[in-house]
Amino acid sequence: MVNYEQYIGKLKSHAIDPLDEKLLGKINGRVMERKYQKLAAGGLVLIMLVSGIYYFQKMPFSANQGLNVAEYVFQAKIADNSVISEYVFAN
Amino acid sequence: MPNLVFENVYAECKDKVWALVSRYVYPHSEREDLMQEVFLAVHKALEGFRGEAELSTWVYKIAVNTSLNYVKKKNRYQWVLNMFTNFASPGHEEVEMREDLADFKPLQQLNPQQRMILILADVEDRQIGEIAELLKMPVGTVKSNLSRAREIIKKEVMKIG
Repeated sequence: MVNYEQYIGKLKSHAIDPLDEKLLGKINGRVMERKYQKLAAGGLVLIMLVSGIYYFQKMPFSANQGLNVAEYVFQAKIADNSVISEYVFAN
Repeated sequence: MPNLVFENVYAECKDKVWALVSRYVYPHSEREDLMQEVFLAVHKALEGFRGEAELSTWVYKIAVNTSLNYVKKKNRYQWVLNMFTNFASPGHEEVEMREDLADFKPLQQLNPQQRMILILADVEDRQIGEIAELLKMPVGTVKSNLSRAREIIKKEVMKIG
């Protein structure tokens, strides 16, 4: 019958498989893969950013004009409400 | 900061890490996979190595923590894998486990943390304080985990006979 100490002794003396000589090559391959993945992701973000800016400039209105339009619509709504409330209070 | 070349670090530490990995996970393909994960983590962290600890200790610390995370992550998805493998015939890895690595079977009854502590303390003969530092946990927790792990292994060994 094997006791605990004998079992641990067996584990200690258990032969360890030889290490694959090509493992360093595989690790280096994965390091390069990760590097290229990061580069590719960075490149994609850059392309999206540049094309986004390019198409934004090509749009028929600028950002400022867009804000002006929003402000105009907002003021128009306030004006409408005041007209409605004036009408409600008068009647 | 010391100027370290990854290939040299690998050459210096590979045997120690391989011994740990081989005692911690069992199918050969998983050992290789874990070994790669450990050295990928070392490669990533190498720039931050300030030389405060000995290089081999620093790499060993990474190896211990990567191994723990590897097994925990694997166990997390094990039930999904089991669901699929139950329908299939036993694969190559299972056959390899049965024939070659029967000595390690009782260790599989331990949780990842207990298994690591038992290997470090009883198989690699490391001090409790050192294990606590490697695993970043209190000495008391290491001691209680080790005692529980020993109890489980004693029972398992008795079953084998």
